[in-house]
Amino acid sequence: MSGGINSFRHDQTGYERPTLGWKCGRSANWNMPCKHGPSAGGVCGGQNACAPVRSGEAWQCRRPAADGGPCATGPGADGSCGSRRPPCVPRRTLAVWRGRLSILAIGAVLALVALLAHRTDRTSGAPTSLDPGPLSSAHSHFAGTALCATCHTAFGHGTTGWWQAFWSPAALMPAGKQDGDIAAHRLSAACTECHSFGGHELQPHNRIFEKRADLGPTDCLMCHTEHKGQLSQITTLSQTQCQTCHTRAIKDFATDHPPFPAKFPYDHTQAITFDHANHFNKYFSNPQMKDQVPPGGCVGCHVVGDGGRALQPAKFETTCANCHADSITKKDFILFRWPQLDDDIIKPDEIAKACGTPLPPPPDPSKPEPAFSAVSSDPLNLISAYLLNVSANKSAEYDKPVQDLARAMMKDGADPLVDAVKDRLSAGKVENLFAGLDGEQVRQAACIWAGNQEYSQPGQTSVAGWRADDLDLRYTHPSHADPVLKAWIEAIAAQPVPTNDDAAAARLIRARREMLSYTDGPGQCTKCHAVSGARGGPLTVSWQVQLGTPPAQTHFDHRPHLDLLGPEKTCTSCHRLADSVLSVENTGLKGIALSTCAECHAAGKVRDNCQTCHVYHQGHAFRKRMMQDAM
Amino acid sequence: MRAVNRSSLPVWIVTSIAAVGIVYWHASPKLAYADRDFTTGYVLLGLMVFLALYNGRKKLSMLPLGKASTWLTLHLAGGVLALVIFRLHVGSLWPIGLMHRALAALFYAVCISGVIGYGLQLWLSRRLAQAGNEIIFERIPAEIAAIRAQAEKAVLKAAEDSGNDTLGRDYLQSLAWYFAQPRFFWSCAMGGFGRRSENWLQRNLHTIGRYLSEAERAHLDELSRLGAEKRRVDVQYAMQSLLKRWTMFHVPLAAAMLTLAVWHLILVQVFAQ
Repeated sequence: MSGGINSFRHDQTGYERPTLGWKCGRSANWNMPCKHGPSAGGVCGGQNACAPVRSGEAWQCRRPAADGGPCATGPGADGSCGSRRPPCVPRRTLAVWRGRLSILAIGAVLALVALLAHRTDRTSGAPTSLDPGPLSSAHSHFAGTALCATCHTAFGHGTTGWWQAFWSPAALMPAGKQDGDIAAHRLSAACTECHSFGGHELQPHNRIFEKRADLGPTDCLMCHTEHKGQLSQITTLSQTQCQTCHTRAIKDFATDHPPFPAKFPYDHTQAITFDHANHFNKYFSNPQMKDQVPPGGCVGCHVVGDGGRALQPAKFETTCANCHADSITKKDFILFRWPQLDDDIIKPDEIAKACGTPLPPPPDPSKPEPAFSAVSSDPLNLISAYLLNVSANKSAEYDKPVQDLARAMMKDGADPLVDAVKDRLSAGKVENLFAGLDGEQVRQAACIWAGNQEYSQPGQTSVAGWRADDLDLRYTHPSHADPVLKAWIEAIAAQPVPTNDDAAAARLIRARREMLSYTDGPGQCTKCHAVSGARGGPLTVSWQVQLGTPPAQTHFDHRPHLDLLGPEKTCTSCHRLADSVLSVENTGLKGIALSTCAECHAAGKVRDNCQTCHVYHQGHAFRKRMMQDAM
Repeated sequence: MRAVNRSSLPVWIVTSIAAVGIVYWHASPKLAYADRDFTTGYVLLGLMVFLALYNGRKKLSMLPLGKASTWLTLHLAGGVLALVIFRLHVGSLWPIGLMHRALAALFYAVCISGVIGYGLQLWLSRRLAQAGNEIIFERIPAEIAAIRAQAEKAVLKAAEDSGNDTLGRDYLQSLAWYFAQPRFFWSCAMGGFGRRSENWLQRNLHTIGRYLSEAERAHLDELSRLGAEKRRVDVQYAMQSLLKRWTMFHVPLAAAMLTLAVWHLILVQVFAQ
């Protein structure tokens, strides 16, 4: 026995070399190994007990002392060892087997990778060494026949393509996207083949922030990663991702989010002016009006079924008409009113000739000619004054133009009036303005007015539409949303105020005021329909309910809230009635404060992350190409 | 051997700080998804290459590359750090996709085999010290051959002294099997230092002793002593075998994992930009 681990004597123990590739075959069979051990090439080194050395003419045995010293037989005459043993079969050491197994493992991996690399049709379900995992359900059907090349431009370009793509993200860009920021992002460029945005694809929020020139370009992969499985939510972002740029730490919506504007969400011009508080507190609660109030509270007027960002009110006929239909039709639109004249300049023979009426008997020369007494005691109405561009109150100024108009109307009916309107109103289609106007009736009325008399319309006088009556040419609108009246209001409102003629400007403003007055104007339209526009510029009347532009990158959907809160307390949970002081934009509602939302959207309650209300992209849409590919 | 000794403490402190720093860095809102994945991926690959160098260090023992114990500590600390970075890189314990799962499976296999191997080192090194009579693994065949030669010599001497061959025949029928090579491997490696081996030997010696003459029985004691010596060698062999052979799993698995990681790197560079 060797004597244990501490025995290291050159003449007693061997020199173990565990890192060598071979070990003695005898040792492998649990026999006494030779002292020499195998060679580096795996040849048995123990056949000869020693290598005899020539000393003069004789050979001397050199068997080590550990093996018993020089042997009795001694070397042969040819110098061969006299103590030979059969050779052993050296065996590989453990280190070699471990190396071999490692190489085998590497080879197996490489073989599998190579074997499965060509199976590129992932739709077949066959395993492939290119498989990065299933696409999200949103993208899983877009591979089509182009397979991975739909997004990965390096796919299908062979070894050269792989080599190029490996070293340069900008290599193998889609056609037309080799320049600009997009050229540095191969996959982003592929994304924008199908996805389009309201602004630049690679700008934060697809917008240019002029005050943040330090913001660099973005790319899709910063937030969106694919191949995470069909159920993966690749559009869901985390709070921390938003705070990559938005450095104000918002860990909790209720406490960290900036407060909403005081008028939120009514901080835009309301197309329809409706004082909710006044209606609910004053009218809807009045027992005498209970039959006229739309049933169901808020949902009596707002169409819940449409949901979405805003709940649009239902039609006028089903909501407001119960109370307001009569007042709308109460006031006619008077286009022309025969005014009080100082002098009668249209001669009776002129009237008789134009109108075919008999000449009046000649005046008795013996009697003094009676003084002229005008049939009308009213001034010229403001619309006519504007159209004729004369003062409404100075008869000396409007006498001649009015009688010239009447003289022309006696001959040509409504045409001179239409021409006057064309000259003065640049906006509005004449056919809309004068729809239903009877030119002959206008001519007859002009004949009567020219004769300093009141016109009396034959037959029924209360029919809606254009008609001449007494001294007026008026339009009776039959109902809400009458197209003729709307056209006149739009046309008058759209006239820009002249800047070089103060008198003309004043006439237009007065005419506008008459048309747009919510107390005396025809139809009282502006009582509900908002008028907008810059002072002195053209005005616009909002006929349809319009949503204000939502704050950038925000969204809101009423539907989940309605379902959640239930019908009884749905609306007023958030939209609270205001007193007159707190009313926002005449809505009769208080602005919605952040704390209102935070009653539910808070830690431990309903989710309150950024994406609940905010969207990153602006104007996201799909390109036509995508649909073509999908078809 | 202790899991964390005083000299390796700085390495573990640095590793802990690095792990916390990487987790903190990974959670930073300043990082985009892609940057995170690319950075953690490259760091992880670099770390795995460093871990693989430990095997090379053992082959280059002639070079002054630092102490093996230092390398082992760095290997262990690097392995723990790799686990942290792997979790951050993958984002979950079990990724999606055939290649990703294959890579993860190999990673976990390497980790598990490494943990088992290190556990064996901690446990068996203590047991080896308790067993005593430590022997260099490569010398064990010679030790067994020497014991066997002495046993056979004792049997021959018994025959000469007593004039009969009872002990010789019994040796050939039972004890020769025991002295031929290491026996009762798992009992020696895991159990009570070869208790089964000792029981087997005593039972056979007792059986043989009943049929021996007084002259032969004197030599039976020598066989009993040699058997005990053989058992101690067997214990050494079994424990050292385990210490050497667990690397037969760990190293090839690591090689396969590194190969697949390089393929993963190629795919990412080519397709994920």
